[in-house]
Amino acid sequence: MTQRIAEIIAEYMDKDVADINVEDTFSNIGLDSLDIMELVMQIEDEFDCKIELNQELNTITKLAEYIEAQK
Amino acid sequence: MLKSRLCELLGIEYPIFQGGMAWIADAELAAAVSNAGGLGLIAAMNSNGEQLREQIQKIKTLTDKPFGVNLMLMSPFIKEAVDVVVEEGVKVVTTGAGNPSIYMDKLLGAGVKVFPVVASVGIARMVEKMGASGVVAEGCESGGHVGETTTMALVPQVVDAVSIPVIAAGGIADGRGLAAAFMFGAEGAQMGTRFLTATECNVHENYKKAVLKAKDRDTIVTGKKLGHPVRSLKNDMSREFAKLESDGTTTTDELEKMGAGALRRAAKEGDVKTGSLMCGQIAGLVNSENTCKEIIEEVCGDCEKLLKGAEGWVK
Repeated sequence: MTQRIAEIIAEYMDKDVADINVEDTFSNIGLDSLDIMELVMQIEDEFDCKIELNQELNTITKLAEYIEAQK
Repeated sequence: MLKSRLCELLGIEYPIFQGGMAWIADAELAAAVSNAGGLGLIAAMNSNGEQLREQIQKIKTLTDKPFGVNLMLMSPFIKEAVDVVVEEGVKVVTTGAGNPSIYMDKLLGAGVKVFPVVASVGIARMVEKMGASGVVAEGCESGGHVGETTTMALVPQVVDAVSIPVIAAGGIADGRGLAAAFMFGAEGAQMGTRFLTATECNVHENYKKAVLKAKDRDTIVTGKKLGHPVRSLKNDMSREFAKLESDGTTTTDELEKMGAGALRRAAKEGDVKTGSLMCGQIAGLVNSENTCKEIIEEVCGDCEKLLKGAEGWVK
């Protein structure tokens, strides 16, 4: 799942997935709050889940863990 | 008489929403807007369930017209707030600052009409798919938390992307703004700054005076580094914040601390020096205090005249 989220983000940013560090915070990756919201909604759609945003949910790894925990 | 789908959908007389301004939009302001024929909204902000319930029960004693609640999705009490909205039978909700998807089913299931405030086409599309009743497309001219796209660019793009009603917000304070919103394909407008200066608004007098006095260039956006940019009036607080934000030596935690409570200090205590006076760029156009009824009748009346006269441009 971590890999797929990284791919979604890479595609959204028009970047190579290899350039996305899954431990990096979203803001360090270069995403602002609106980007994060759009991506989260896209990810909810793809994984059929609901994601409640908060300040701690700020890396790809943490987001993947959060979604896994819901399943 | 101005009419749009919005009026029928919500049972309101005029297609005007009042912005859900935290620490400012209380039951009294919302009731005054609703009584004047618009849609008044109570700002739930960080209120807990009981505080919000108190405001909702209060507005029910002040108006029998439709009213709504603005839910701040990042609030620590958001779950309670959603429960209270449903229990109290609130009919309309606008949402801001976060992802509405988690609460959408519950609200819609209870018959609440949900209008997320959006700052991008992508999010407008997503919330339509989730079942939103409409969207408030808010451009970055607005006060408080802002996106990056202007109302002029955002609204027509959102209108093209969704088929639910779009309410334009950001930079609208008179009949010209409302008429422009209709030209962009919106079916109504939301105003914050204009209602902040309304006679019935309980915001501290110092805050109101500062907004009435403000000119076109008197607002500034800070907090970009924190991931949630905010537009407010330039004062000691916002200038200092901007300086610390750009010098790179101040941590985001320190900046967060500096911003905490600043809006409450301005709105409740009238601290116009170290408080945060959030308002939109249109403040320069807002120069007189009027009642909500006067505001709505003026804005809608002028808009009607402009729209009727628009044919004059076509030769």
